[in-house]
Amino acid sequence: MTWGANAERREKMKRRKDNGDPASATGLVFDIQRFSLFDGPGIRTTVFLKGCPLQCAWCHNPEGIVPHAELLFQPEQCVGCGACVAVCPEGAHRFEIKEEARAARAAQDDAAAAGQPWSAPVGHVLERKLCTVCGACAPACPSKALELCGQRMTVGAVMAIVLRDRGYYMDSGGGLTLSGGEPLFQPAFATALLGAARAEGLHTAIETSGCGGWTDLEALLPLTDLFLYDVKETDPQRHRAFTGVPLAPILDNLRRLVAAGANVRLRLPVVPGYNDRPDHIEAVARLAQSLPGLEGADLLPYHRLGEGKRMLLGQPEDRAVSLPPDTGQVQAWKACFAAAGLDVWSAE
Amino acid sequence: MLDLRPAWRAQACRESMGQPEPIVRALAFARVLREDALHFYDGDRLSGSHVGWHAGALPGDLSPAEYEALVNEWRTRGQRDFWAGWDHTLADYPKLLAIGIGGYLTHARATLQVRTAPCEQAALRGMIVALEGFSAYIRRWATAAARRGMADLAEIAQHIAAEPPRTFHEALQLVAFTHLAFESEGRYAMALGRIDQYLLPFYRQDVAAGRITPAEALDLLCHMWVKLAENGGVQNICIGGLTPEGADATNELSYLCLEATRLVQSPYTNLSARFHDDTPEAFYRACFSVIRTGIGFPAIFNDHVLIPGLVEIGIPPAVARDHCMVGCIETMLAGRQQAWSDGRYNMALQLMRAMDRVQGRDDLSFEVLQGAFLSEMRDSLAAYCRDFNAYIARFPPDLFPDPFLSALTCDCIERARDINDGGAEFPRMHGIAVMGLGTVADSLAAVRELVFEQRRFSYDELMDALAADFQGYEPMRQALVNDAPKYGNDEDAVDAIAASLVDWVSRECLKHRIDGGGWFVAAMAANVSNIPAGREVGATPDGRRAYTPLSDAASPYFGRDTHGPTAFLNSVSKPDYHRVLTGSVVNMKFEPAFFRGEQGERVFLALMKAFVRNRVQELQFNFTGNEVLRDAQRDPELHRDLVVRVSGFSQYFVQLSKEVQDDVIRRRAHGQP
Repeated sequence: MTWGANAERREKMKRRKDNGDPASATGLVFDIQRFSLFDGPGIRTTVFLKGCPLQCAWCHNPEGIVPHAELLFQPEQCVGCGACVAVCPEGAHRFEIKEEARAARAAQDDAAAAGQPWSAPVGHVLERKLCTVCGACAPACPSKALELCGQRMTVGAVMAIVLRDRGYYMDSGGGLTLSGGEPLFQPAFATALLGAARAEGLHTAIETSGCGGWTDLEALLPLTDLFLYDVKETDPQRHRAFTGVPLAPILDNLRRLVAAGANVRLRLPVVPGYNDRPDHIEAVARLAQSLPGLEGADLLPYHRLGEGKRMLLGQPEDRAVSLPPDTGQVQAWKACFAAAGLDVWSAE
Repeated sequence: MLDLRPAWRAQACRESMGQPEPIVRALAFARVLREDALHFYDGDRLSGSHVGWHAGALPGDLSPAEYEALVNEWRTRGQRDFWAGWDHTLADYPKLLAIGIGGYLTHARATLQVRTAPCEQAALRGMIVALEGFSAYIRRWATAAARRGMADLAEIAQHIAAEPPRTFHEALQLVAFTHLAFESEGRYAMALGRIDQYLLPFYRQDVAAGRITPAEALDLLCHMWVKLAENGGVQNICIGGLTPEGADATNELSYLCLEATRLVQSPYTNLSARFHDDTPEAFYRACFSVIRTGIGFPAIFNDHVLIPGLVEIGIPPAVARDHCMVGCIETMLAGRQQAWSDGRYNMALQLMRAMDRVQGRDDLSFEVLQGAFLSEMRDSLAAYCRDFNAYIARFPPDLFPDPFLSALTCDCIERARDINDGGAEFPRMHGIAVMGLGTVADSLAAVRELVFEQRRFSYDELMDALAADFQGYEPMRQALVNDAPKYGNDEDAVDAIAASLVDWVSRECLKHRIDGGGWFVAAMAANVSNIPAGREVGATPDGRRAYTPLSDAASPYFGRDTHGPTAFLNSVSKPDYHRVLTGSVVNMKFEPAFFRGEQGERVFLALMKAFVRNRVQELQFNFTGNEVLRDAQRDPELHRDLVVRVSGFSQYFVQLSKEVQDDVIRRRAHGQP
């Protein structure tokens, strides 16, 4: 994928952005995770909004980037029933069952009967070029080899799920976290969701890259108890290269948020081969020190979860992204921030 | 090692031939206590051990042939067993500590003067012989301790051999001796009951008088826990809850018991913590500090479920509030009831019988299937109760009296009757452990949803697939697994089925009575019997393969609860368990990293408070080790619920790529979160 295409895509996204009336707001949601413990205090429900203007090389939620529904396909889950072929109006699904595959499938049947996992090489091919993501095949698929990622939901529908855990939020000081994707990419929906949660007395948090208009962020200010704010890269050129967007507006938004008295924690991905450099670590520490009242920072060591998800999206990985940092690397970051007087938390 | 006890008992029986059975059995009991070689460990702060009734070789005056003959004689005489009422019980410890062994003897001897019927005389004499033997046993320990130069242990034993205890140390020692005497009879899973209640007056007096510090009391409790570890098995200890008057009973000893459990880390002291709406926050925190060690204790219980259930069957509220647990989780009126028992009842098997029975009916509908299922259950539960009553008829009280336990059970002396002959204040309970709640609820939901509502396939096709154990029907099996709601995900459609099953079956059990008095009550606690029960049942409509395990106890089926712990807890909150009087077990599995630090404590407390508020009956918390993760790699379908921490967030383990899974396992093997 070239950066040019990325710019074009962003342009397209902008046109699709929702605009206006919070009461009737709907948004594109790709996951709702209950009992979420690492996106703010207490027990939370994290709502993942689909669509993101960034293209981080190391993205761990690549299914959250495109602002429309996508088809996830896990061939190894396919049991070869052919239901998708029957319902697909575009002929995007086909089976290339060769004789040896048939034999292998019969053997899998026996293995499955003996309680082994079912993974027949059934030769299911999805022609993504033909697929219009109409959503017909996913509900027909009995084994969840095909799943639709991204569902348009109303604020009410999201809140009905969120509020099932109200008692747990109250007892643990938890609540709702918006994540993504980039929540700022659907500002009216994000505002309406946080407003609804606030009206129910829940703690509200938002996980953001900071890439959005200041007026959108400003609108969230009175509704948001905690901003989890990404700082991915402090070198402007590298930032643009790694994420596809400029750094300056993001830092600008961060300073304005802090100045406006928002409760902010920095989120710092640790990605060996990208930002695991002393100059970046020191720059983050300096940045943190320049932000009075910053609550602290969370280190997020890189993990390879996103790589598997790209496969489901039909984006075979053609580059080795990174490796998870070892404990020593993470400790070095931690030590540097601790020395700068920052409250730092890490998973390691 | 040779167990000498059967030979000693048989010798006592030979010598007392012709006497009434209660006296014969009491003499057999006393003989073991008279012969016990009395073993001390270095550093003992409590006397008592069962080392001394085993030997590496037979004593010189006992030939192997004679030993064999004696063992056979005792075996022929027979003994009560679990179903007949034998173990899973305890003494009336509060009364024992109040009046001492001497007090019981005085009462029994006085009653002997007024209750003159031959059977009453025999029962009372049996109890007196057992108590005298027990008292003599404690005196033997006193002498042995003095001989070893353990003056304090000698003095304590000397005093409590007849007198009521005066101090915390003496009270604890008397409980230890009593428990040991039960062990000497070969009873399994004996409980200690509400130790933080009945020891409390002694502890407070000692503290007030400056005789003991909390640290010293903790040390003694640890010694007690280690003594219990020598016995092994499942020894229940109950802490917290309500007082008989209905106030909060949590006290300083409750915390010391938790601390002892945390320090000793023994799997044999099965700690049960009772909770209610006014349980102090500090008690939640203290329980959490033990649970987070990964030991699995304490299991937590809800007073607001069990107490109303006991009251509903006629137990006075003050008595109901004073209940404890025996064995794993079973409800018991301590020292006031015949010994507890339970058996296994396979609910999934009844569903499959009903499914066969209705196949081919013209008017087949979900309601018809439901009706057939309930009628199968009605008949099979009645058959279960008949079988149980026929079984216990083989243990008539006159041939199988239990004098020592009778002596220490409320009202046996007063009534001059054995505990198994109407002597106990309240009748017994027998738990019918209903197995397969999750499997059956999921199966019914799948049939309703996919066969009768969506008509994805016909009833006959489903039955063919089940008969073939889904061979050649994998797409249908996938639909049954994925396209019908599953218990444990906070989905009302299927949770309501589980709730009505719990309600129906717990009412149905209570319609039956034990011969000679007592209730059949439902249990939802299968221990590991869901595995053998699964071997009786072919493929089920929830997509479960033939002869594999059923869902465990009152928990959802393995791996089907994929919406996290809050959805899980919301689901298991929906059934009304108050008539499941034996108790229920809901197992929750957690990634240990969730409970690190202050945030972990906050999260855990919120789950526990939801448990109390939502009136779930029982919960236990397990932490997933790496062996579970490796199982999940081999068999993902049974582990879809397994959540692990990956870096800064959590994710379903089976959804991770093999590489990431291996990362997680490696990381955890090094003790990192």
